[in-house]
Parts: sequence; C-alpha cells; structure tokens
Amino acid sequence: MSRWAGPLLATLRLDLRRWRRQRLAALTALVAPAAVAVIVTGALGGEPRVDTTWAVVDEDGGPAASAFFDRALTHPAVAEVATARRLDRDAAVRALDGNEVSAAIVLPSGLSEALAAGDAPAIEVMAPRTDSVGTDVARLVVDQFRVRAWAESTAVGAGAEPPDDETWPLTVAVRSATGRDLDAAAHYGPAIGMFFVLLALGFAIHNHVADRESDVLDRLTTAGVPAWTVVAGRVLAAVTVGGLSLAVTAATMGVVFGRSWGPPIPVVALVLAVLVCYAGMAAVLAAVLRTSAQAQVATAAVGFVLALGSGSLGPPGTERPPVAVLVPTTYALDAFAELGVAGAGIGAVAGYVVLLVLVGLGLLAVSAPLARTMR
Amino acid sequence: MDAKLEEATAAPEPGGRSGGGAAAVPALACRDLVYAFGDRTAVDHLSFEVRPGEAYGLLGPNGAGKTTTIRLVCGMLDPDDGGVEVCGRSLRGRGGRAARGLLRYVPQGLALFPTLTLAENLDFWARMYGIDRRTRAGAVRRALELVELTGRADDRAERTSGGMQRRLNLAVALLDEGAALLVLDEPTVGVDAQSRAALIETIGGLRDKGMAVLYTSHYFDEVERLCDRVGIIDHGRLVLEGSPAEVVAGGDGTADLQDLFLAVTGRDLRE
Repeated sequence: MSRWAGPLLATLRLDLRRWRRQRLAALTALVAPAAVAVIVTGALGGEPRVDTTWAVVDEDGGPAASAFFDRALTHPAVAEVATARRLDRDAAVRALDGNEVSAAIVLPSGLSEALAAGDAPAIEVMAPRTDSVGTDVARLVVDQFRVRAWAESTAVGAGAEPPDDETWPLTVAVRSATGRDLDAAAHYGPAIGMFFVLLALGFAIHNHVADRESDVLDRLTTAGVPAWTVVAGRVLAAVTVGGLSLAVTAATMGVVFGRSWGPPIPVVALVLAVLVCYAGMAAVLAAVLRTSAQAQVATAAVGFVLALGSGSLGPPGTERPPVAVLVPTTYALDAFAELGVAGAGIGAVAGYVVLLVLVGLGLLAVSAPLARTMR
Repeated sequence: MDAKLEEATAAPEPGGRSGGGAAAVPALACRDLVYAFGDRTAVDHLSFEVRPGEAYGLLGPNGAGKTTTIRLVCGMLDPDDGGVEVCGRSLRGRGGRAARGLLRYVPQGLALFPTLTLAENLDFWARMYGIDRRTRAGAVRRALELVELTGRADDRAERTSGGMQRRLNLAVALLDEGAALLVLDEPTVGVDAQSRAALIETIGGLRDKGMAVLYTSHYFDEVERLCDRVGIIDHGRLVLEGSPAEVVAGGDGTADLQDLFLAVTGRDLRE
C-alpha cells in the first residue's frame, strides 16, 4: 500500500469504528434525519406556503373600494394566502412598525370617481422596513386590481360586457431565485440533510482537535505519517456518515410522502458535490483549529453562517441576506430547487455541481499545507 | 534488535547492553541544537548523546527546554541551528524518514482511543507505522505481552485503569522491533506507584536488550533507578551531565540527585 493510502484508510476505518461505538450514533445519523424529514414534510405537505396579513385603509368609501374588499380580497387565490385588517392610516402605520402586517394598502380618496372617469389612479402600498413575500403579493394584487378595474370601467364606458371574475388573471406563486416554483418540502428536505452532514463533519473536527490535545497527532508526526492523509481519512469518514444521513432524509421523504428530490442521477451528483464542498470546509477547519474551545466556537459559527446565510432555515422564497452569494449552501439549495421542477435533468444543475466541486477541491488543496503543521 | 537496527548501530555487548561503548555509533546524537520561539531561546546550543543500550535521563524544571528538546529529537520541530542524528542518520533531508523509522515516541498525553479495545488501538498504530498485514497481528500480540496486558486485549481502553492505559501508551512504541531509540516524555504522569514501578521495569528490560532510551520525568527515583546517565538542563542549556552517581559525587556534597538539581539550577524540578 502506498505511503499515503495506508494511513488514510486506517484513519477512515478508525473514525467509522469510533462513530459506531458512540451510544447515540444510530440516533444522530439515521433516526433523527428520518424523524425530522417526517415532521417537516408532514407539516408542510410540500405545498408552497405564504400566510400573510395586510392592513387596508379605505379613504375612498366608494364602489371601487367596495369592489376591492368584496372581489379582490375574497378571490380564492388571494384569500388563501392573505388576511385583511381594515384600519385607519395611523393604525396601519403602527401595525407596520410593529411587524403585525406585511403591507398596508391605501385606497385613496377619489379612487371611485377617477376610475369612473376612465383613469387608472395610483393605489399606495406601504411596506415595512424589510420586504417579505407578503409585501410583494400585496403589490401584485393591487396592480392587478387597478388594471382590472380600469379595464372594466373602460369596457362599461364603451358599452361592452365586462370580463367575469372567473377569468380574473390573479395568481399567487412562490418561486425560487431562479424563477422556478418552490416546493417547501423540496426546500427543507435538502436543508435538513445538509444540516446532518454538517453535524457529522463537526464531530470529525472535534475528534481531530481532541486527538491533537491528547498527543495523537504528535505521535503520528514522529511515525512519518503525512499530515494531510489523517485529515483526509477523517473527513472521508465524516462525509460517509453525513451522506448516509442525507440519503435517509431523501429516502424518508420519498418512501413515506412520495416527495422526490428529483431524478436520481442529478440528485446523486448534486449530493456528492455538496459532500465534496463541505469536506473541503471541514478539512480547513480541522487543519487550523488547535483547541476544543476553538472547535466548538468555529463549528457553531460556520454552521450558523451556512444555514442562516443561505436562508435555508427561512421559508422558501424568503429574501436572502447579501452574504448568501458567498455561501455554498445557497447554490446547493438553488440546485435542489431546480431539480424539483418536472423534467429537470443533469443539465439543470451541472453548473452548480461544478461550482460546488471546485470550491470543495480548492479548500481541500488549501487544507493540505495547513495540515502539514498539524501539531 | 532486528537486522535494521543491527545495521544502523554497532553490535551491542554480549547480554544485550552496549553500555555506551566508545566505538558504537550513538543511537541519538544532538549536536549544538538551537531553537527559539520568537526572541525567546528555548534550546541554547544543546549537545548530548545516547548510546545503544543506554538510558539517558533529561531533567529540568518546567520551562527549561525539555519538551522542546524532545520535539526537536522526534522531528516535530526543525532546529534553527545544529542537528539531530538517529543511529548516524540525520533527521533532516533525504534520510529523515529512515531516521524517524528508528525512533519511537511515547508522549506525555495518552495517545489512545478510549472506545477502541487495547488490541484495536495497537492495530491502528501498527497500520500507521506501516507494519505489514502478515506480521501485524503478531506485532500486536507481542506488544501486549511486553506490557503484560494480553489478558485485557479485548477490553475497551476506557474500561482499563490509568496505569494500564500508560502501559498501552508504551506498548504502541514497542510494536515495531526495528526501533533503536525510545523517547519517553514523562510517561508515568498520573500513575500510581505500583504501575510506575512496572513501567520502569519494562523500560529497563528494553534498555537491557540494547534499545537506547531518552527519558524525561519529574520523579528522581525513577531516573536514578533507570538511567545510566542524566543531563540537567536549565534555560535550554546542559548544565550538568554524567551518571547519577558521578553527578552527585561531582556536586557540592548534596545527598542525592534532587538536592543536587536544586543546588545547580536554584529551582525545584516541579517549578
């Protein structure tokens, strides 16, 4: 066996054995992913979810305002996602400030007269400090109402039959950053799986630091073992366990709820790419961290950045923070969203796969010289 | 000793111990070692030798440079100046790997895996030392025999006593018969008197079979009992060297090594 293959495989074998001997190994790697997948998929049912409340300020008091309340807000597509609270302007502003509503729609004084005269007057949508999906949906509904009301008034003015409500072109769809429909289960499923991969890698980093503290790494150095082979073997063991958790998550969602992550080959390619990427991050951390305290802080911080930075903990469609562009999990989630679309193949995620693998390989390459000073 | 060691060193005297014959190539030669952490010199032009079949005790208070010296000897640090040779082979350069192959290090920490059995621990280290698959099981068995742990081979390390774990820590260094130099950094820390005595006896047995031993400890009785020569270092320099008896005799008439150490360095060993 070559100078590096022996130590690498010995470390892989060692860590898998140590993992197996942990009392909670099966629970953390197999039972927990399955349980969380059942809870999340069961709760969300795979449907896109928006549940929002708007304040509506009626300063018009005429037939146009009545039409907005009776027809626009009760339209099934709108009623499914939004609840309206009729407030005066001051109360609406307070509700916005208190984050009680995602938008305040103001039907201005003179709206009915303007529409009757064939104009298309502005309807103000006041937004909170941070926009949400609910704010966007409010703008969409208001725009469509204005167009519709204007079209109706024009038609009536011209003596034509107004279009009926059934054909009112009002739809609410939650879409991914790339414009694809977002499936909540397909969003949370991979996010859960990736969380468990991170958990496994966190354990590996803790093991490595503990070995450093107990002089194992010193002894390996004197034995002439290349430092990077130990890190590589350790990370390989962790991604094996993490990969198992990911597979359990996907299988649970597929078998129990029939929620597929997409066609098998692109999904496997994407999962492998995620594992390579995370392995690179873990290898760098394992190489540079020196104490258990450092490992604890660093793994928690990285976990939070990867989860919160990518928006994977938020509902699908939530606006991502600016840092998301630097977080690999963002691209992984986008790629899984792409695979949720019927007919998506490997071509839909090839770019993401290449990007994640390149990031992972780059980090692995960086970790090798860092690990050389592993003592 | 096996053929590799025979080739690397002069033949030991009958009975195993060479006792430091003048013609023998030293198992360990530290020549003018210098190492500094920033502007603080930890090892300052330190030179000493350990001959095949000899146990050499390195003594010094905390911060004297003992651990840094051990790390230099084992190749964990590269000296700023000077060099280290194991059986005539430099630790640096092309022969470095071969030189490292002749030394075995027993760290102060327990470099073990608690959830693995004693045999599994040794099997892991045997793989890391590159011991061939065909001879690995035999090497594990022999190492367990040497430290008298054969009966506990299938017990997890975490379920054995502290003394047994120390013996297992030593056993790792005894897996490969090719080793010519055993470097032990305070191997009896936290061990009861009985287990300490057993460890010292085992190490003495290895020395008697021709293995060179470099030993650091805070226990003077261990050093006096085990070591043929001692070197006292302070501020990274060798301040006194000789057999325990010579060192005591050459001092200022103090009763034993501990008193002498205090007289020479002005500090207690545990400081």
